[in-house]
Amino acid sequence: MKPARFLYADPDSVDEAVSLLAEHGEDARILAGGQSLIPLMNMRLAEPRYLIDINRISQLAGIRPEDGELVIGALARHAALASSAEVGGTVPLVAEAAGLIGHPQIRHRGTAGGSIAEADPAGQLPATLLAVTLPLKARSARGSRRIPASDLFVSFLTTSLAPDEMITELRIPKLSNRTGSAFLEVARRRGDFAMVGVAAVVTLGDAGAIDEARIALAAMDVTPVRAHEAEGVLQSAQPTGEAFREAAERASRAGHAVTDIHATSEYRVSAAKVLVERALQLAVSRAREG
Amino acid sequence: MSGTGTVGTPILRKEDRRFLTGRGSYIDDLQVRGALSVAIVRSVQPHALIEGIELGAARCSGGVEAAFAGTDLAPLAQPLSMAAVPFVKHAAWHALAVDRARFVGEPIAAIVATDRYRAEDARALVEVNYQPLEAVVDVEAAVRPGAPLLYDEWKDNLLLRLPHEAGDVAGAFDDADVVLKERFQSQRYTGVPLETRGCIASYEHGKLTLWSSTQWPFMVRMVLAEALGIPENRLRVVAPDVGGGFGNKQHVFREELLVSLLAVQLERPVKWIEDRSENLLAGVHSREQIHEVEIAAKSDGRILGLRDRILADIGSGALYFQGFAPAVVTAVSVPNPYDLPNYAFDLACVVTNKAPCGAYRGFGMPEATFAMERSIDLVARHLGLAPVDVRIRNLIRPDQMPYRTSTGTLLDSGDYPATLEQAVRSFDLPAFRKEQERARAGGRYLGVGVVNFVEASGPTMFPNANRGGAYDRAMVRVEPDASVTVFTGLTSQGQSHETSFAQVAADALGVSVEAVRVVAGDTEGTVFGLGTWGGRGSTVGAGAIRAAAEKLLEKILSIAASILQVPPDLETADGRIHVRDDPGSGVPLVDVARVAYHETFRLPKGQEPGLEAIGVFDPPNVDPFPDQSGLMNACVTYSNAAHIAVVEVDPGLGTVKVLRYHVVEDCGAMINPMVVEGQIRGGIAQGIGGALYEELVYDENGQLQSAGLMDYLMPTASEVPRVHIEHRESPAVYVPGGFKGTGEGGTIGPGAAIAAAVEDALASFGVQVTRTPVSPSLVLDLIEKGQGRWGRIFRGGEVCSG
Amino acid sequence: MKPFVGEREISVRVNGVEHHATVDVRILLADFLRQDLGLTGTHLGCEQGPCGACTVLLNGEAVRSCLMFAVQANGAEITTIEGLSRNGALHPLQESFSRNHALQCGFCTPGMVLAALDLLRRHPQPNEELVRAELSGNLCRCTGYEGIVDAVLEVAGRMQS
Repeated sequence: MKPARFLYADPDSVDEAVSLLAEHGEDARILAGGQSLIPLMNMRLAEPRYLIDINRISQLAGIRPEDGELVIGALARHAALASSAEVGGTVPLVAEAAGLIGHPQIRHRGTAGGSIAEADPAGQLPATLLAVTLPLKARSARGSRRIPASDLFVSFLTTSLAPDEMITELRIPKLSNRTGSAFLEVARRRGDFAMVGVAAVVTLGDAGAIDEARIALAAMDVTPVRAHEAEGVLQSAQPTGEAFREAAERASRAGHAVTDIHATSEYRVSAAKVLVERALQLAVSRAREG
Repeated sequence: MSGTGTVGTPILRKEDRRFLTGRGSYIDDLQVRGALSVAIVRSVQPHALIEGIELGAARCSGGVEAAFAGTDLAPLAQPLSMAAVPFVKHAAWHALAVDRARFVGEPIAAIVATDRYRAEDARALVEVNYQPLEAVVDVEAAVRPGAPLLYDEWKDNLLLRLPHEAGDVAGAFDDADVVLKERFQSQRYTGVPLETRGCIASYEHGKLTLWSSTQWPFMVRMVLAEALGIPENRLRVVAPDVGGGFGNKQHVFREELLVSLLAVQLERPVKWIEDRSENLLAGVHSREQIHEVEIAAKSDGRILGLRDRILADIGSGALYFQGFAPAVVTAVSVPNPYDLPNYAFDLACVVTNKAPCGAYRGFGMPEATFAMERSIDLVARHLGLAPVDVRIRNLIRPDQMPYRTSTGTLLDSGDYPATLEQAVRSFDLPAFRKEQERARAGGRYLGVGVVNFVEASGPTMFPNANRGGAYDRAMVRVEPDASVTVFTGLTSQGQSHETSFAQVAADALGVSVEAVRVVAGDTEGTVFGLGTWGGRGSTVGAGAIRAAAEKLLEKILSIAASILQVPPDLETADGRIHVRDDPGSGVPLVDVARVAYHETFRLPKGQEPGLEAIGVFDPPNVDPFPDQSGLMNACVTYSNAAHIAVVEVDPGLGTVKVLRYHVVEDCGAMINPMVVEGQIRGGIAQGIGGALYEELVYDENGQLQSAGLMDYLMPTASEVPRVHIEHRESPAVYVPGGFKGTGEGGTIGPGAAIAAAVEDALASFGVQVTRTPVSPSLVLDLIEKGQGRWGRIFRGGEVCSG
Repeated sequence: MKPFVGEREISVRVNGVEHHATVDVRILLADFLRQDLGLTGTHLGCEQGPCGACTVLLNGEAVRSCLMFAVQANGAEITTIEGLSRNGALHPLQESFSRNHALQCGFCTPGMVLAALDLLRRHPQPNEELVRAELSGNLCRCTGYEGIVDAVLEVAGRMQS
């Protein structure tokens, strides 16, 4: 189980990286954390001719506040997301989700940009991104653009990024202190991909009713999915068990759950109902704590 | 003789330092100069004729030394087969499949290159022309008339059909108050040692050396010598440090034959290290069985009779030895802890287009225990009796020991009811019921499962292989400087032999454990022996070492008596030989060695120079093969244990967490309790894997869906609880020192115990668990449609749910 | 601009010793350590990530050496199991593993010890649940983990006192 031959470059800047991408596009792959790509290469399920290792691009590393937003570099490691005080303070959902990714060895290498670009429907960060509706910034030799999260995930393991584009950063607006969030998942074992994952963000109004709720689900379809109908149920509703159950019921039908060896589609729907309800309860109680 | 008394003490392991510092020497760590690397082309078809293999491009690929198809190698060796075993149908297989592939992963071509990377580059260029045949993947489909055949000349897919009936089974069913029928299933799963298989062969001056990650080097030598036509004295097999075996390396593999052939052909050393995908696709699978059980009971819970129709899926069958052996053990073990003279089984071992099944720790006993213990729970539930009471009512009593079971098994010793009662008492079942009630009030679902079972150890391999037996042999040598070397044919794959065997020899000779070194795993560096499997280490392995040491001790004492000029009423301790009860009087062992090796003129009359002895332990109570009624005692001794599992089930998500695990184990006398407990804990972790997580899943097209460790789910530290262990000691009757086996036992109980615990936790939902793994999907499915489906009642009794 | 290359000269400091080598860019770090440097204590159990046997410390952090190319370690500081004992004296964690029967076949042991070391660096006083969670990226097929967990907790306890 050894990778096929490839050619390797480790550019020092995003400019350099995107010009290499522009040159080789379809034949090139970006190597970030490598925790999904390298297993695929070892199994020869991926055989890129050109590998562009972005790990030496210091401008992509790091997490920093900028213009009232939190900027998470594409190379920010899951371990940093999970433990960063700034992430925990600004978007605790991201920290919570990142802490559930794999194991310490994976979190030390795996990156925010890599996880999102991989677009695994069972991944924690793609669903989280949908729930916090983060736009992300992508660059190509043609320039840079902001991609709304809702436009990113196209189909199984596929994003709307062009072959010559790479993610450079996520930008996160600070959530109001009446907002609570929760990421819950059920996996076969500790650290496995989720059979079902739920990212919930709930903002309470002054009167205690729900101002806004956003729910995204992992592993319930070929992409992460937003549960818009469930969100509609919660809009302006009182945060009661009944409302949560109704929302959970609708959220569980937001995608087309598939059967695989770890869970049946029926299981996913049933478990989603339970998890969404629990996630909403938790998010609301966190919102109340401020 | 008095020893230094290390047997029975938990001394720390001599092998640890090597492993802890990264100085272990596993197969892939061996540096064999100039070794070439092999990549194996494996079938992507579950069943197909191989019409052609195009190796031209591969041969031209960078670094490639050679490439071979099955037809190139077939003329160079006899195929492997189990032809010598009279009661199974004949199949034979070459190192590489020649004209037909029978499972996805079957080896069909080999690329030899300067390194593995380049070998895999070339492998990608190989074109195989398959003509697909209809595949049969499901075991029940395979036994239907008209099913596609794996071996056309058989006319069916039955490798072996073995019916057996003892006692008056029909009468038992006539006399029953209640007759229940249920179907129990054990999934396909296996050992998955962290170190995969692998071997290196080197052929020089007409002698072949094969280093292999194996549990039985002498067996590998015997089988390969025959296939290759090389005399056994020109074939050396060496097992280096082995990174786990669990039975999976207790086979002789076609890859071992392949690598040997390549080395002979190329006259260059050749190395093959299995990768994890290969290991899951084409290593040894195990455990896949369906049991249709009928059970006849009186209303007081006494079980009068049992019938078990067993379908064992053994995959393609191309494995030395074949997977029928564990299935036969299952069939004869089903009633084991119980006094159940009226028992009938009908075993069918069926070939399918899946990887071959073979040995995995537990060797058929977990499947038997699952069927039996689940049946007991079924009876208890139907009759409204406590499951523990039904067990006590049916267990073999100590006054019945030794007990000959309805299949011929000779249970040597043990107090089975006492083991179970101690477990229930020390676990404190009533306290748990209160805890369960409190948890339930708080919305948590806890459950408990109690099982007991028998673990057979020290089996004969003769009926399954027409080779070997139950015996083992060892040599012990006191070196000229009085250090002691033990030579054994039992390799270690983690069983701590370097320590525990040293304890046995040290005590017998009265020297320190530090003074003893254990040498194993090399057909040229040790005495002939049959390897490490089936709980042989503490039974026949230790027995042979003890026999050798005692034989040697006689000589030592005789020489010492002559040095001391006293009558030979001597004993040894602390490396000295002294007059009984007079430790000050003696002579150090090194002085005896000096006489034995150097001052041989001082030897007593009749003693030869040198201080070494070969010892044998050949169990007197093991039958070589079944008698005319099919009865046979296959093993030297039988341990017993009770397991209690506590689980928490989340009925919303279907998840099961094992919170606690409680064990009372009776494995007779213990050589090293720390090692015994390590074996128990490790076995239980694997049993939990089988109960909840692990499964080799094939789709209907015969493709393995769990061919990586992201999909084959072994438990991590987060899934395995603490295990509380207590011991009882019923010495083995026929084993010197009274030791019994303990390596397999941990795997036997968890499936049944956890299934029972899940049922208990979800009693209010009327859930019945009849198969493993108990996955979240299965749990929710059972909850949804579970209400009251409690076996099929044929006569008597009311369905009682909860 | 750096060109694409098929091989690259690298400098890596392994267990305190500087190594210079020219590597094929596709060589996995684990293979480089095992084959080029002869440090065979780093074991390969799956080459897909989940088993954790190949865990080494890269600039002090636990990583899987089967999921990195050697070329990526250029300029890095690596610790393998061979670098843990100094002058023949075992690291306290290694001693604790032996005392607690935390190993049987020994194959997972090097990766497990290094993962545990990384855990104790980040969480000097872990509780049992955290130890189990943090070590869940390292499979052990022999021990049932109890000895491993006890070994780590024992060392953590001793470091505190």
